[in-house]
Amino acid sequence: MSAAPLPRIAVVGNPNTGKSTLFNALTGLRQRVGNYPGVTVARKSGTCDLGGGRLVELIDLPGLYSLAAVSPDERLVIDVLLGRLAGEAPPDLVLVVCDATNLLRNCFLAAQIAELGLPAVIAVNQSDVARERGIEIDAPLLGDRLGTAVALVSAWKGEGIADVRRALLRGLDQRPLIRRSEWPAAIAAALEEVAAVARDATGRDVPPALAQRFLFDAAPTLAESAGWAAPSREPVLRAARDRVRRAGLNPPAAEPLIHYARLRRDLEGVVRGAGRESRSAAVDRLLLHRFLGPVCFAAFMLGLFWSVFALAKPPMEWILAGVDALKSLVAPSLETMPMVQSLVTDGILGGVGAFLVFLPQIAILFLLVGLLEDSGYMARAAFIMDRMFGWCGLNGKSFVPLLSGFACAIPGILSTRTIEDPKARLATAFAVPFMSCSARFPVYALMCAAFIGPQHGALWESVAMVGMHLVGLLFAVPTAFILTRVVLRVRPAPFVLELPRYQLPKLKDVLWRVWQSVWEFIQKAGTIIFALTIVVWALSYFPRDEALADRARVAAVAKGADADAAEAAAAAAQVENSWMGRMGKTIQPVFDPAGFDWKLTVGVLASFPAREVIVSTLGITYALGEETGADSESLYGAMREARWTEGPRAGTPIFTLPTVLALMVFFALCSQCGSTVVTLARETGGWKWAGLSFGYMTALAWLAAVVVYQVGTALMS
Amino acid sequence: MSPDALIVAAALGLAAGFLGRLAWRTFASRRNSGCAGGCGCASKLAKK
Repeated sequence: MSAAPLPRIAVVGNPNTGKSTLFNALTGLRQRVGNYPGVTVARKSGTCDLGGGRLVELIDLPGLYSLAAVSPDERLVIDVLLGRLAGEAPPDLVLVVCDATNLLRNCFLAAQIAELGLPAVIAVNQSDVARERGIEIDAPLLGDRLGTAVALVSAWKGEGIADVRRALLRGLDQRPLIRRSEWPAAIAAALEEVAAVARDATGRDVPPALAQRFLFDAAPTLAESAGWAAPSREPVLRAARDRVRRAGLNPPAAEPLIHYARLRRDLEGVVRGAGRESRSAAVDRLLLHRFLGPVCFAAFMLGLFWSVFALAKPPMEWILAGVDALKSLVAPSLETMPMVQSLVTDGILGGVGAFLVFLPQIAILFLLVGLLEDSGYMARAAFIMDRMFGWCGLNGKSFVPLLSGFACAIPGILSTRTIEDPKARLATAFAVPFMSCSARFPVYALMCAAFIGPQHGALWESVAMVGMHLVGLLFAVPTAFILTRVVLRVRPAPFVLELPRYQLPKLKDVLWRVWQSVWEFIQKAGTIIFALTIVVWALSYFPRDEALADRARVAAVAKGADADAAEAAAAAAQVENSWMGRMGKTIQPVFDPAGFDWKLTVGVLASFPAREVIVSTLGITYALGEETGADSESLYGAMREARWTEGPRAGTPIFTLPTVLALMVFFALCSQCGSTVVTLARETGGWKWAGLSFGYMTALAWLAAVVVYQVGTALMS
Repeated sequence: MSPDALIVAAALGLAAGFLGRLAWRTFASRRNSGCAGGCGCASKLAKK
């Protein structure tokens, strides 16, 4: 026998009201994340104990300012609340989360929820911030005025959570309805007329809240999703809106005017104290300043990367030493099996070790970015980006996905679902993979560790890092400009970005996210990178030609080389003769104008499934080309010593500054992530745009690498 | 076949099998509705 389903409570509220923090505080770790059927919006729910073992299911819905919704996740909120999703009844109760520092605007959504006729209670969150600003809220009076339970809470500080639980219990027992606004007679009549015709046209009941959406919303999104076709809809809506106009009201403005007039009366005496200018506002005067804001942003980024390099240096050296110790421990015991010895030391330890060494940098990067995010600065970064790059035609909402793309393109592409205009969504999803994701980081870090750092110092490493992150942005912006203005002709849309207050980051939350990133990195090293290193090793090891190795050995000795150098020459000859060597040499002419030798070419080719693979591939090809058991530090040394063996550049170093920069620019721009291409295909509904993105980015990367190498070489000669 | 070659062949077979399965899940299978696992970030959305 199955247990009775738990009562369901939908949590709704404006964005940035701390809705998810409250949801987390109420549900703890008892959460489930899935997808709503038929739509690509994440469904987050959790179980909450309201006391005495009374369990309920809380559903965290996407944030929205109004029920006049157009984006897919906003539409979903209305569908959930109206019970229009297949297999989901309307919730038993709605918990409306309002921001105490902006109660009037937040109550507008509560007033719209009231029209749905669903039982609802209110949690006034961020009460601590309001208190700091001198704002006092009389919750019982507000409850009396609105006709429901109201709880004051600070989810972030964990204050008032018990009051919210009590309000929810009362809501479930008494099923209170928030008092509805009174509509003027002309609007009430127009709404009745719209509801009646829509009911006949769709064959489904049309609740008053939905009729209001049909009448007041300029976009026909909800009418269309309800199945009310334009030929039947448009004459009725035109007539209804004319009736409203004749009564002296403007249909799109009537709803907010009426709700706000009523709410102002309701909030009289509820909110006391005008509120002081917050510290956030004072700090924002500097950080959002038209000229100083971008300067501060650039300084933060420079400082961030400098700290990453400086702080990660000692732990990176420990990992290098650990990998080397492991190699010298394992290698002697496998001497009877030279093939396995090479697989373990050169392949697995050489490849995975070269990748894992960047773990401290990744951890410190995510720690610092997490601190910036939690402090509230990242929303300011989106604002600065909007002001700097808004001219390129990207929707204002595009900058949040673009910023997410700096961590990983996939959540960035998924978060474009918040953009209502499908064309703007497509343009943004196309631009997101240009953002320099954390997978590019080990590639840049390898080049910095081997060349830029030792030759130019930590400051230039930071400059190179910031530069590489800017390269993606510099190409994304013109790409978006052409897409939005010429190809897709996107209409500009208004953009509202609410800036959260500055706060001290919660170290526990930040450390949890750092751990998730670190664990993901380790998992990747233990799975994809591990498997790929075995395959890359085999391709670089076979076929073995001992006669060729002997000839190389003899030739080296004839030139006066010692025994170690002769062995290295034999190993290098074997790698060049391997399948990987042959493949690299065949394709190398394509990358020759960018200054890539065959080993770099092989690294680039092996990186198309996942770009970090170049680090382990170079680790293997250089380890195999050396004596067996070469230590990790010698990868950097071997790369610095590598020279062209043939052609017009014979005898000159392969890794010059132009080559290093060309390689970094190539990785900054190239589409080298199988998962991103697949996600783009799924989000754009086919392979056309994903294929176009792959071809465009790869061609652009090649061209940019060639230009950097050729111009750099010309300038340095 | 020497034990040396046997171990290497087994390791290679396992690695190729793992990568093949991953490629299938990424490009062909519709089992994962979000990210197919390459970077691991969004796959959390798909996992219940």
